[in-house]
Amino acid sequence: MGIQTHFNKFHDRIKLGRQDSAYKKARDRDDSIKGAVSSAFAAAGYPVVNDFIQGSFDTHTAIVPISGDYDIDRALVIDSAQAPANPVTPKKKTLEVLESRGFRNAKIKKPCVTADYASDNVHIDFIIYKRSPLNQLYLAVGKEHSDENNREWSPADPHGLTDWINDRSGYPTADAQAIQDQFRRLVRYLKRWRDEQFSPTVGARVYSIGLTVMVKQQLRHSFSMEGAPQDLQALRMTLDAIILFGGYFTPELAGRYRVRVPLPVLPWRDIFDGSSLDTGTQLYNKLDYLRRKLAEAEGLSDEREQCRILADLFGRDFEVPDPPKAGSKGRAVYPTAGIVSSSTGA
Amino acid sequence: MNRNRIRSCIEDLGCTARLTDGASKLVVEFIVQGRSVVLYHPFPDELLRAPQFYLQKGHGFGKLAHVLTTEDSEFGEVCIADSLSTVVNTGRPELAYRDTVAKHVELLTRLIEDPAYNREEQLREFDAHWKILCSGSGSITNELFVAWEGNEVERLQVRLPRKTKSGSGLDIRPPSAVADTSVFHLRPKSPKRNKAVRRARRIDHNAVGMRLTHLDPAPATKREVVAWFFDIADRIDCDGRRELERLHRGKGRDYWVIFSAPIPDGEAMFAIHWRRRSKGGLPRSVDEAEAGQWDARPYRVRALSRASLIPRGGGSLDLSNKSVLLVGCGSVGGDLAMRLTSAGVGRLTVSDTDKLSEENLYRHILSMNHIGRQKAEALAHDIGRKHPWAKVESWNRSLECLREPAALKQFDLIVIAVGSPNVERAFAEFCLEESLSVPVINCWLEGYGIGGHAILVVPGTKGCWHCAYVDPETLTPSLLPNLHFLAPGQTVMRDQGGCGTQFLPYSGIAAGYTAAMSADLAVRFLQGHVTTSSKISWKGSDMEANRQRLSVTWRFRHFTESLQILPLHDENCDFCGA
Amino acid sequence: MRTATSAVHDGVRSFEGHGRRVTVDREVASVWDNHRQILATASESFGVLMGTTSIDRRDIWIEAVTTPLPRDRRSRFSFALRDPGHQQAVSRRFESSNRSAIYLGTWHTHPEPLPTPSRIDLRDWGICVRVNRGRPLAFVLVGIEEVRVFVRARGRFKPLRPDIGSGEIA
Repeated sequence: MGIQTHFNKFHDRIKLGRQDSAYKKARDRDDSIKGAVSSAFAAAGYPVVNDFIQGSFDTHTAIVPISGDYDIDRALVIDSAQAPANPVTPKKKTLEVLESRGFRNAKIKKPCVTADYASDNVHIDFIIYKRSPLNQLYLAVGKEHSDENNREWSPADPHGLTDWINDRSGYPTADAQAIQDQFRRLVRYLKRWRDEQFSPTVGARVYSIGLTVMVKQQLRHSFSMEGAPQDLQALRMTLDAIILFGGYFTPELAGRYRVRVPLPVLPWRDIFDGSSLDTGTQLYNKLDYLRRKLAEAEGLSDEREQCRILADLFGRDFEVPDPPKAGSKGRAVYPTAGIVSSSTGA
Repeated sequence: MNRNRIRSCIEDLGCTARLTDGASKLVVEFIVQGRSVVLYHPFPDELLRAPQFYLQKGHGFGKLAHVLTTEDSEFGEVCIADSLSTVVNTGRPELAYRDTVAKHVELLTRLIEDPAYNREEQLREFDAHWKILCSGSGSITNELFVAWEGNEVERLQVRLPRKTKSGSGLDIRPPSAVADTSVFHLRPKSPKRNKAVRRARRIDHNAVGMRLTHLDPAPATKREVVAWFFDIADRIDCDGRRELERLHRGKGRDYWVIFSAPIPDGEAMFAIHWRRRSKGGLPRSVDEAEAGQWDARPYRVRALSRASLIPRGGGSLDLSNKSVLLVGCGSVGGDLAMRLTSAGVGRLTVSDTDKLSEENLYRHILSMNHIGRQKAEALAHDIGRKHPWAKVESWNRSLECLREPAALKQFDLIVIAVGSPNVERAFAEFCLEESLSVPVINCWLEGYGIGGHAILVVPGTKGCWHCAYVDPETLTPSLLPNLHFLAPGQTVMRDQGGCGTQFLPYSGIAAGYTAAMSADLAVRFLQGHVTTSSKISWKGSDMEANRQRLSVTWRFRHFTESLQILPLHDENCDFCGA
Repeated sequence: MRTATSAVHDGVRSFEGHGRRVTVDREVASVWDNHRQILATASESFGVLMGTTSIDRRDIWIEAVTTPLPRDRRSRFSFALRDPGHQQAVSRRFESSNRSAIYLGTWHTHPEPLPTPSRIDLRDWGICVRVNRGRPLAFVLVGIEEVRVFVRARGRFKPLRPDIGSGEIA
């Protein structure tokens, strides 16, 4: 076994797909509440014309949360002709429905309405868009008591972002699938690393989309001559690029950093807009530490030593194999089971 | 070519130079030790090599090295450097002339002023001088073949080259068993000779080979050969003396004395043939020779010597004690066998159960007259004719039947070129099972000229056969080698008329590449340059594969290490991991 | 006569010799123990051996066995392994073990205290070796008092000696 086998196992443990049962339960909750919000919107005169799940499922970069809380980003689209002029109006309507349905901590945030489902570990963000006749989406931005200057229907392109992440036209055609798969794994590793290495409050501000965009833009894929993925090397090289050439981190006074990652699609705003120097500095320092430790692991020949370093970085889901038992040897592996002949005997 | 410019350019060197015979010749003169040295040069129509100068005889400096004289000419040919290795600036011929003359002046001055150097250089080119002595009438040179390594005193059997009807000179037909030098020895109980030997024109009387530890430069003329011979004969030591003594007491008309001697940077071998009308012993002195009317004729020796011919052909003598088993004598195996012995591998066993069929002709190394014959046997025959010192044995056994440790342990290397993945897998498992210590090379090629591969497994080193069978996607054992260039799960075999007639489409060129590459790996291993399990591939073009709508692997797309020996070990291999 | 004990029963579950060490799982040992032909009327029992080997294939670990299946033929003095269930068991185990557990040979009982292979046994073992070329195989005879393990060495089947010291499977 090589270190890639351990990465593969780690990936199998952390990856989250649409069909995973834990996630399906969250989806059930989401479906029922979505219906209620839709009815309320219809009654208020702006029926939902489209809805979709935003986020990492369409980009195959979702991970199993260590907190056990499943996040769903639920997008609801209303027609711009029927949409109220004040973008906060439908958000307030949403909040009312959520509160009436027993959600905890329901509140209106600048880009969404957020709530925790009372009995399950489900956390839903409602994101409201209006759609123009030309199919342009506008995001409802503003808090409950925002004045006119702080609320707007802001142009947005959530589908464009997904397409951008899934775009592989920049890779050699024949290798594109393998490279995109590696990209997805690297994003998942980094997201899990974020969940492990940051406190929940800071971690919540190290946005997944920020990590994803950086990895996508700076991806340095790595495969063996035979085409076997080398995720360790790829991740380390990608981090090198992010830190050294990405231009995402600007040094400020006293060894502190500001992080800026512009959205690659409309509205092109900085993903980390408004984030503190603390977030930037921590992210920079921890990413830098991560890449140094990865480089250290790359240099080791002992697989268990490598795994120990990686488990420190990625948490317990990165398994450190048991030491070989004293006196016992490894098992040989065979290509076939062997043939039972129709034996006779006496 | 402006001959006047050439002349003046040469005068810049401090020589006198003039044009004669209507400017068709150039005469250059310079002074060494107060005496004049005169060089002639007839201008050629076109300057294709360094200009050739001739030294006028009667210069009074005695015999000089690098000056080849014949008895009937008043000029000696001066050779300054191998014309093949000199590049002439034909655009500026005057410079070529100036540099050439400068070299002549330098060389001749040194030869004249330094007699020790002159002598050493004469020895160095002993063979060239001796060859001139051996020239008979016309272009015929007196030559003979000797199968003698030139080390020990030996009684020899000499074979004269035969004249052919076409008159092209020499017809050399060494017997297929020439590798066995004993057939050339005159021993009372000589080993049985095959027909070829019997047919050969033998001179099985009174030939002796002996080694000299010291050699004088060759005599200048044929007349001096007799005296020169007795000078040498005086210095022969015990064993050689005893043989010579035997010849002195002999009762023959012909005696052949063949010498080997060290010369600077090499070995010289030459012969003198003594003959007269009536029988009698070899003369002991110049006087006896004259009194007995003996004719002493110098002969050039063309040695069928392992020690000189194998390296001359680029082979290695280190490999002569190596023993290799080659299983599979198809288009790859056949070529591979030839290349292994060509590299100097001394003992080769080839094994195959197949017979050569007409279908094989175009990509097999064997010729049509072997059709219907066992491939292994035919191959052994042909190699024996081509590489006489290789001992080639043929077995009529398949790889599956060779799974016997006792039969395999004698070999230094096993090379498998059967192109049958299932049997090769079974054999690899057998090797593991039996902990066979013999290293194994598996080589094969893929269809449509896309490439070929070889893996070397050296037991006890990092990397095993299974390292080539780790699926790059799942990192688990796979049934297909991860070296492959064509993606798995595609039909590559081509069918020509139903069951049992499938064949892998590839060209003889692809087979040749694979054979050459695998032979290289084998030789490097046998010479000790490669000591651990390795792999090597050549990557061809995917043009034909594309035309067949076959897809290629990651490895093909990214492979840039054709013909480089790479480590076989795969870190994801479960067999040698843990 | 000792009736309650066999070499396996005594806790010896390791056999050694001819470059091999065969170690038998506790449960396998008890299967054999239960199938001993102690009763005069008992038929022969038999099955295939399954388990893993060390990378150098010196160690053979017998981790499971099959027992007679409906379509097998059995009598007091002979048997024929005909039921496809044996192969299925082997293949299932192979797949579920990450390709490490394989067919390792056969076992059968003999109605004698110290079993010796019959000519039929030897011929059959030869066939098993042939169709599984390159695999380490072992053949087990379960007698009334002793279990004996045979491996092929230098072209012949040789018994291994029971290793009294170590019985634990690694």
